[in-house]
Amino acid sequence: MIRDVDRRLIYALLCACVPLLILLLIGVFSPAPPELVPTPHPDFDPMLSSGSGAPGGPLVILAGLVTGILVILMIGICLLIGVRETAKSLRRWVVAGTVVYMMVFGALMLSYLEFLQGGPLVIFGGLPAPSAWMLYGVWLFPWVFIIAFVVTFDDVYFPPESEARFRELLNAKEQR
Amino acid sequence: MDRATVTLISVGVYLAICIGVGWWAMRRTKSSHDFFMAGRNLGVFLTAFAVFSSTMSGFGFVGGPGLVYQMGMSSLWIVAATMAGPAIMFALVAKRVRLLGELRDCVSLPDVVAARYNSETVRALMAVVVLLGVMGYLATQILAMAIVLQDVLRDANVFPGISIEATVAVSTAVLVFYTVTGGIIASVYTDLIQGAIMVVAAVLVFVTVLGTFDGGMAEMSQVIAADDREAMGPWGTLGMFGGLSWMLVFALGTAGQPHVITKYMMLKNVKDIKRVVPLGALAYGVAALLWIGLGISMRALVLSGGHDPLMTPDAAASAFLQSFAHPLLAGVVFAALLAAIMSTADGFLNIGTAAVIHDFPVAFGGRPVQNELLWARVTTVGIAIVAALFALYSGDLVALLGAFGWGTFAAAIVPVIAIGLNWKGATATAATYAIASSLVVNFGVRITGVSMPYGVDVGAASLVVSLTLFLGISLLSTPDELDADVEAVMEM
Repeated sequence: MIRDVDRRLIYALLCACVPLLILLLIGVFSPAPPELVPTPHPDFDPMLSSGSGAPGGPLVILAGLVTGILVILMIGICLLIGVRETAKSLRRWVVAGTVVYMMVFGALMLSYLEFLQGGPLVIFGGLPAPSAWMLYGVWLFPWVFIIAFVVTFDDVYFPPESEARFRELLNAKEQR
Repeated sequence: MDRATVTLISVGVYLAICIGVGWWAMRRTKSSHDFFMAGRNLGVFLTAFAVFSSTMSGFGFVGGPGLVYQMGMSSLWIVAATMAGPAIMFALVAKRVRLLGELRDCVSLPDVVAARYNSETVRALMAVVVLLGVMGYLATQILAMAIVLQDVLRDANVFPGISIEATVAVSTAVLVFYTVTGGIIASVYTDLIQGAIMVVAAVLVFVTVLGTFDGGMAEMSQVIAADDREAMGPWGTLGMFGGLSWMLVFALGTAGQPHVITKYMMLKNVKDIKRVVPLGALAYGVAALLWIGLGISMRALVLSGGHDPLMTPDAAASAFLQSFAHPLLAGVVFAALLAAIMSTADGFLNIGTAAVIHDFPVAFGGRPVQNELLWARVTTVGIAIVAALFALYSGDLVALLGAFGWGTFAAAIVPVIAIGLNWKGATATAATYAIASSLVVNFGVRITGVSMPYGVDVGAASLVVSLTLFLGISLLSTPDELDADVEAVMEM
């Protein structure tokens, strides 16, 4: 049986790319207002300060949320493209991991909305809460995927039958 | 002994080690296969550290902290992408390039592409991308090496009037010596040493950083946020689209860096991938502590009056080391800085040489040159000299090509290699358009000076365009016939 990537994954990846392209085009034709552009720090140039209107209105924040979700979706789809359909346990792991990864990003955004309200800074692990979500969550979470591939390596990623088939191919090459 | 002398001695010892490794590796380099692929005989630690230290260039040790100083948290989205990158490399690329590499005796990424798509056009285009990227990256790395060496020599009052031309010549000579004599074998063994120095240096610097404020990182965060709350928020001063576009291009783009992918082709045992990927990711994670800690610390120090303002963002690392690090640590970190630069440069020198003496002759003449090893050595010298001249005399062009590197590789290689080695429906026509679009978008935007909206990285935009074209055109075309062995590898 000829096995190939589930074509739905390819369509899904394309469907994640297209809205990103649309967002990009919208940005090109309606550039950021000056109050969102970073400015030189008044005292310590070349340090930059955020624009006076940063981060922008609810639409900008919503677009940011959508972009972040799409980026993580693309990461998840790419991981799934590398996993054969027969590897059901690994696929489940990757799908569940991608959903949780999106939730981590969602938590970052919620925490950021709270951060925007002003008030005392909530510090976690030495960083403001939303930045802590970024470094301790978004940065470190993909270890779940790496561990999943390591754990399932011998059964799914490169099982004995693949190894045997590869040996056959090498032998055939040497005999040619 | 003062700080400058310790630094000079550390850098001198490090350069001597590189020359020694080159000398030693020369006796193990007997063929072009050894020169480009290390005889496909690398173990876990060598490969993992070669992958890590090739990825963490001088940018991570100098540019990264500088960006945090300049923009606040924005550039940490590059760091935030560095664990997703290895996961994608694991899933899509590592196994297939290793298997196909051995099966087809590939010595370069364009070889892999030609085997997958059965197309010399795709091979030639990929070689063009590799060579352009290599020239840009190499020139910027050589310039960075020369600047570091010049600073070290001036600070120690040894040749205080030494010119940049002279330090370019010295640093390039060391780089060329070990890459010409020992090829990729010298490169990966120096990578191991360079990687170890970087990890140790990063940990020690991070510990030093935590001591610069009584309240540690929390106090630094408070200081920065008191000046500009957004700067310490997750998006920094650049804004959310800048950060997210960096995450996209650095997470997916890791699987599109030729100097990193080729390291997986050199693995002795396919099964070692399960150790190489986590070990490389862990080493990168530890080394990134320097980027995070040093950048935040310098911004907070300057804002609180604990340090004079910096003239340029890139001075953040050296200023911190001069003011706060123990002389011995400063020495180790300066050696680590040179290590970070050279470990990336040697990988690029090797793949650039492969493009010139292997990929172009095969694409246009149908066969490799006679006596590949000799020509590989000659070409390595030639490329290094051209890159050095380029670094010194090309003005803005070197910056243009340097910036061109990561994003163009990501846009050209991620669809064609990472997706194409897994999806049989990907076609050579689509690969051609994807590679061409990566060149057009990246060069087009940079040459015309079009500013990207909301701080979006041009590499990310280029990646989305090339991926869309690649998927769309492949879906609309009839799939190409695949060779049986290639198809078998894709099914594994």
